[in-house]
Amino acid sequence: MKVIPLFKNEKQLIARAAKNHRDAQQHLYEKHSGKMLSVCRMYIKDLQFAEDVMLTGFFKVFTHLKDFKHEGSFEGWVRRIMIRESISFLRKKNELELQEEMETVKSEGFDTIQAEMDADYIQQLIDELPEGYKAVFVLYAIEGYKHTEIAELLKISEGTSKSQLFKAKKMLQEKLETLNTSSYGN
Amino acid sequence: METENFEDQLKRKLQEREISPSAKSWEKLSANLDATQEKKKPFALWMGIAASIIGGILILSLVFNNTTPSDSPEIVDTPKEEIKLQENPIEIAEEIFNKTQVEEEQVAASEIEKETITPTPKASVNLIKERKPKSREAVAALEHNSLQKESVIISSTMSTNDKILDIKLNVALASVLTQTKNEETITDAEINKLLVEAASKISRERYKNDFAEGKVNPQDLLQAVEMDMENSFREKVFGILKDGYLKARTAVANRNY
Repeated sequence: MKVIPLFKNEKQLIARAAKNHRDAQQHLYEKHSGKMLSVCRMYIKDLQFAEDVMLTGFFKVFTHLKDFKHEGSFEGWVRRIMIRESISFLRKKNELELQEEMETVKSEGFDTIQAEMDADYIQQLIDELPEGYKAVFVLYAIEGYKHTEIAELLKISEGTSKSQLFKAKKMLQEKLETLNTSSYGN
Repeated sequence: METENFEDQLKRKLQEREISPSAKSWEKLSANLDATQEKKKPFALWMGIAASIIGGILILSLVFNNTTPSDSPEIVDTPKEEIKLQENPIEIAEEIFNKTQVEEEQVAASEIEKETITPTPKASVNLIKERKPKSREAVAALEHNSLQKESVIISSTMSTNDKILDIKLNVALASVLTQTKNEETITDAEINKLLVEAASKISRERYKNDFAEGKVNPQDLLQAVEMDMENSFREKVFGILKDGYLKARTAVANRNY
């Protein structure tokens, strides 16, 4: 019963925001900015830069709101804009160094790790990854992108995307193993 | 109890995570959005100005088109009238020339008649001389009377229907005759000069008569009225401007009181 009015409300909000009504834009911003800053933060270590990127993303969202066709969720649309903005930022900063590697990678998952981790800790682990690995890992593991999509977005080959993901996972596992041994070793 | 896969845990935790942005983040974004809208405003402003100018031109053109249609046919007609007016004098001049020729002939005829009639004044003079008048003035008066009689006789002999022409011719002939009496000799050139004067007088008289009879082209009158109307409109505009100026002046003068 509540879903339909909420949806209607968001649709109305989007319509009003598209007509440059600040109140509607502010409402949408306040609703989605927390999650979107989290998205940007996954790619960008510095929170201030992440916020700047998020603001640029929202600026693009509001100036191109007429292009949103309500085909998917609004959040998904905004999220994609945020991811593109973050990658664009990394590229400008020359932090997105992705080496073309054609080595075959076994699609290995993580070994079963029983550790219960909070988001901040996971973020800390991701932050320690090199930028190239990080972007591929976040896009694949968190956002659920396929390698073809990642390859297209980062302008790399699919093989590179796979190898980057493999390396990222390997690195994370090593970190977790060290964490586990240190925590259980006590 | 089955524990959650590490990847799923990662995904869920990071997807659910929210990081609240700084307090002034919305203000920053709002300012940026305002700046882009202000950039768009001058374009809209210029468009508005351009539209108002075009609108003003259209209104002015409509106003002038509303006034011109009533004028335009008259303006189209006026050159024709001017041609007519230019043509008319030529016709009149031709008429005058023809008439002067006729008049010359008539005068020539009258002179012939005069020669035949002249014995009578001479006879009257002889009679006066015989009677031996005391003063020359009396003789002159008698002579004038005799001349008047002569002119009456001449006018009666003429077969023209135009009374004005008759009168003028009579006057001209009277003057010629007085001159002939006083000076005894008169040249053909002088006669012609007098005849032309008389002809011009006749034409003027005729033109006046035409006016009185309504033979004058009504377009002439309309044009004259139109000119008057234009003047009045101009006066009205100047009057309005003057009133406005005076009001503004008094307002400026009284602003400190």
